[in-house]
Amino acid sequence: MTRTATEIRSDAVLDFAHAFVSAAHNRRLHGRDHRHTTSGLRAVSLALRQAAATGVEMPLQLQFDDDAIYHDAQPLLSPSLQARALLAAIAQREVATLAFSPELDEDELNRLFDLLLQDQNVRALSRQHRERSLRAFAVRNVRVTSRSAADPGDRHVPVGAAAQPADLRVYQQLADTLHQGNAAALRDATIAVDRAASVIEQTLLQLEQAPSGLLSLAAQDNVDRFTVGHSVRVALLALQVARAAGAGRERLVEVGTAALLHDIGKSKVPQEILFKRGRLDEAEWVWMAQHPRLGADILLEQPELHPSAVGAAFCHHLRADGGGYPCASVPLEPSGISRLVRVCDVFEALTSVRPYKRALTPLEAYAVMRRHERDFDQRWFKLFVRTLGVFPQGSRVRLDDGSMAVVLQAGDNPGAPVVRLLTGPGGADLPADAPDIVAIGRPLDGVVRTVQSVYTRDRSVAVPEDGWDATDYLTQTVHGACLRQDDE
Amino acid sequence: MERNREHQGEHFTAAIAHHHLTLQTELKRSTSLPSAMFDANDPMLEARLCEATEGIFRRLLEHDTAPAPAAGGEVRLENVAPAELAALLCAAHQGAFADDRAPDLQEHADAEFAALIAEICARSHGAPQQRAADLLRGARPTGAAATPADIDALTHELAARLGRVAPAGADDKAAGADDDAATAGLLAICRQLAATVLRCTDGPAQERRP
Repeated sequence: MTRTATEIRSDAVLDFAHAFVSAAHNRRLHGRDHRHTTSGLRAVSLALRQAAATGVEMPLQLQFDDDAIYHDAQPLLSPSLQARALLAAIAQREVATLAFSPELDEDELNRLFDLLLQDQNVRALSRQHRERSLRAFAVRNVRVTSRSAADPGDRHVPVGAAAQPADLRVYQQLADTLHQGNAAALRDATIAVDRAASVIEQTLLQLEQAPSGLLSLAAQDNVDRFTVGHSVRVALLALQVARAAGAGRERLVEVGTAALLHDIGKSKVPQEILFKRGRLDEAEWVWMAQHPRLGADILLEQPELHPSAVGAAFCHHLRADGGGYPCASVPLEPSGISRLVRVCDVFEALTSVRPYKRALTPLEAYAVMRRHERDFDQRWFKLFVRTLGVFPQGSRVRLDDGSMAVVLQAGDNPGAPVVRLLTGPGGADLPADAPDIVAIGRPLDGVVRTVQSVYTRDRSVAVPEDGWDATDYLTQTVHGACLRQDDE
Repeated sequence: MERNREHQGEHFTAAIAHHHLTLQTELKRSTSLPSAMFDANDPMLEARLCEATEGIFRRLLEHDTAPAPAAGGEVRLENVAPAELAALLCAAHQGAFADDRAPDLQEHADAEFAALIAEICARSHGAPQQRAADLLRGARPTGAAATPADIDALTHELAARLGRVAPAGADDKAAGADDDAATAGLLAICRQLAATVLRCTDGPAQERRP
């Protein structure tokens, strides 16, 4: 799939925003001179220059409201998802926009973070002090504007809601909790287990009220610089499947917390190994393979945490056939929660972008997992597929008439989801009066729509037609029950 | 830039005052204009001179900012043939993912944790190992101090039980209540063994870490 210049520029802006959010996290959690901070600052500088090289208009301006980051009045949803703390700091300082010139270097950005993130400088970027503060901290390549209705030339641009604010905030809180947990683990400090459980409870409420919102956000958050997005997505997947397994609220909190923290051992793995492109050498692999054991060590020390989290951290790379890692010196039978987390972990890894690989569609991921069926507990894998369906919520799909759509919910059968149309036929604008919610496999104005292909961030995969009839699936088993279309 | 490194953690108002003082000093040092000019409180003059001076410093200190080459390494994509996707969809169609009974989240939960604290006690170090040891001690009734003979006996018992558990295949094991009992017994022995080792030695063997 050839990308247009606009798409390339759009990706460059996204990369920059991701780098900026990541650097702010590192700076906030690790301090001014930590190596994670230094590498984060370097990534911002590089991303900014790459954006300039791809033709993004400079200075590159990001706009902020309480819940999201924007560029050209378009929400940058993916970086916003992990920006809870940064957005709060920016809102506290009433900053509307930051415009970055490509000459910005790491030292200067670090000084900007002095102003943006340090509590004592909360008033430094107010309209009254802003210019003098920027000059005093030698920040010359970032222009700041303030939120104010009084000055039309300096007004925060009203950009509208990026998503349902409640969804966005819950997702951001999950990510922020994990960021803080990782930082605490790195410092050998106590993890705020209560906070993690509380955020999981809020997530459960949100999943019950409006599941599609959170899951759509999860589909957006596919560029992962911390493994935080990965863990949040694994937690959301595990919660859905555990609910389908009939778990009560207390057990769901246990599952969600275990899934959220399953990769916490990676906080001890050097970032250059964690995010290395290409194959790990032997020494790097030794480090990487330690993360389940390190995670179990970290979590065992948290007295408030349920033991299942220790199990999920240790066992999520153990295969059902006894292979995998780490190699335990005592016979070890993973618990149901650990087995579920493993299935969710592998599915998420296959369907997201990594430094060394592209994303598979869910359909392809199922095929790969089916190919390696001895690696997984098949009972949990089957329940996983039944719960998520062939086209999970948040999937981007093209219909047979060329319309683009996003999956809202699984529908009556896993292969026939309910979708929201994003464009009209052939990619044309959606007519204002046309219905935008379509149930695949059901007639609408005498036409039955089918899914033709599924999209990842950078590629599409055709859905085979041979041997597959979504409507016919209604006669087959869904959650173990036999449901006929003509019975309804 | 050295001056600004001193601003770590500095309050912004102090930084502003420091900045102004430094600039005035620099300007007075580098110009022949009389001090009175700078004391005339002409904010525009001061601002222009500040900008010009900062610009000069910046150009002097600027380093090469050419983008570094992107990190190397291939970007892989797992290949899934259309035929494999079609087979998956057919399998789904034929009910391959159907199952009457949802698996149990709590299955093996206690056994898993018991094995893990034994594992962490034996192979980790520092605080986690201590915590695991405490949990193990809590799980085992206190008794007379163990001797090397106790370790021998427990090890033989462990080996004997392993011999009963290990030959069973995954499929066989799922069915057998006897095997469940054997596994539970094995885990109990592991707990005792680890606790005994703790009491008889200076500390468990430590796993080498990178």
